Amino acid sequence: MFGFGGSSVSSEQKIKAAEAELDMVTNMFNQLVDKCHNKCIAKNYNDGELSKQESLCLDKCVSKYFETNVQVGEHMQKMGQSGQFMGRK
Amino acid sequence: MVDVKDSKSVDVKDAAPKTGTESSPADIKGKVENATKVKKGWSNPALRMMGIPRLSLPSRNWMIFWGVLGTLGGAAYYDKLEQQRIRKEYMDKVSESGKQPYETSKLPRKLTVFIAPPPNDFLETSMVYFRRYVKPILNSASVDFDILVANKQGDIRTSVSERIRQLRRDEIAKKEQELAAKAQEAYEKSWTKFFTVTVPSTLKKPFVKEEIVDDVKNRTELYTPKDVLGFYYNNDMITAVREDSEDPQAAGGVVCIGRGAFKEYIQGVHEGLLGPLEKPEEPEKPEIKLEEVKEPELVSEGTTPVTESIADSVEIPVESAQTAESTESTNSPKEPEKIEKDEPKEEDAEDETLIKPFIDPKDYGKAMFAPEFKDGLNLENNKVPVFFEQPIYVFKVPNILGFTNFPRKIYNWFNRRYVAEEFSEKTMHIINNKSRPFEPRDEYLAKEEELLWPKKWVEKGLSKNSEWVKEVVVDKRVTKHLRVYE
Repeated sequence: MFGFGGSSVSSEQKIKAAEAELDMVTNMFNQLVDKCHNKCIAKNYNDGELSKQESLCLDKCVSKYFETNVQVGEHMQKMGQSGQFMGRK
Repeated sequence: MVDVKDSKSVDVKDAAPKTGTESSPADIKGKVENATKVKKGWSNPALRMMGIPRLSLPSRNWMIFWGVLGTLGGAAYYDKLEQQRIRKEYMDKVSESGKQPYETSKLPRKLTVFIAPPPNDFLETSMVYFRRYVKPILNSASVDFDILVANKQGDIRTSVSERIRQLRRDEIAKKEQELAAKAQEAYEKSWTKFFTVTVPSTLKKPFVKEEIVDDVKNRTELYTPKDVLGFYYNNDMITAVREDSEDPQAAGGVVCIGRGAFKEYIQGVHEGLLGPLEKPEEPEKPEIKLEEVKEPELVSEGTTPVTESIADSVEIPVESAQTAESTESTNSPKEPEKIEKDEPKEEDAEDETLIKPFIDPKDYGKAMFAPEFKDGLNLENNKVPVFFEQPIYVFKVPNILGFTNFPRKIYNWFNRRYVAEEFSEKTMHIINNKSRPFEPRDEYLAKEEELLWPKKWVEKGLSKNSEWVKEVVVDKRVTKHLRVYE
């Protein structure tokens, strides 16, 4: 969206785009926290602090989440460009 | 057989009412005989009245069937249970450390795991050994790991040596930057700059126009997600520190699954440290073929031949070759751009079935040790020791192939618990993290595995000059940097 428009992009559009961006980021962050909490944190909450196992799991979970996100995003973009979405149905 | 079955189907319950009513004595006699014939097994009048048929053993064949099935199934099930028990036992042993509270700003020790497929088999075979017997225990002990898999021979060697070369290039670039910064600093202070740049620019300043900046920018230039999320308004960024950086002796580790992976790893380290930074020109082929094909040595033979080769390689040729090599290495730091251009070439080379090493093992003695690394312990920027300084552990993959080995394979399948025990026990060595310097005998680590390699495959490898079937060639200058888990 950005980068193409030259000076024709109005400030209103910019704000909208920024809002969408912020929504996306926040949404992703929340999902990430939710998923990794479910996966990694023991539900009996014996300890207020993270254990070694949990922090290692969280580290892996987060990096995996981002990696998947990037890869899926790239793939979707590729599909979108080649018009496979439209061609299918 | 058929008779028995038929007589069985004539049940006493059916026979009884008929005998009770009207029938000739001979008939009765026949029926009774029939009934007595059937009367194997156990019954009770009360049960009989309730219509429960007599309880008896099934026929011989059914007994055999159920017996065999039960034995095999039981053996498999027992084996599975034992495996689970062993896994749990070892996981519990090490899980204590994983349950302790841990700072958010820290990250546990990280291993590098190299997995190569066994000869003539798929990668999955080795992966299974890692996944079943090693990974659960590592996870339980909360040791982090990176897995590096090979799909074909030479993959591990190439990636290992490429990583070392990259480290060397970084080191060269860093040195160059320092030099450039120093030169820049000297230039800033010098009078030449004052006269050629500062004075003219102060004179020109009012006439210089500001560039008009395009007001549409990419989002990433303006802010990152971190800037938007409220969390970071009041908190500083947390950068996690690896435990590895605290104690260089206890840092990291390299795990090789399979003798082949180990061979490739060792050879890769040698290639990276002793070989040139750039891909050498292809030498004439016929010469190499004659010299490189070596006879496979017997496993049972001692370390003598190889220790000799070490001694040879260390003492004699180093100094004579140093002058020739040093000119080359002094050339390479001056041309980092050239190195970058060479990278796509290497990718092309990977398409070949066998990736050629940058340096032939027989030339190790002549080559100069990478001048970018110092003699002692080499640390990376984050204070973690360079990966080849980290201790090595090798697992042998007890994979048996071949049609004639089928009984052995079946036997092993029912006794996988011993494999589980062995692997778990060995994994404990990694977790306990006690290491010692590399000794000449360590090049035979997991050598037993080579006995299991299919003979035809080895023959083919020898004719194809495969690096797996060749002996490991080590050089003392390199091995003194290596460590091994006890």
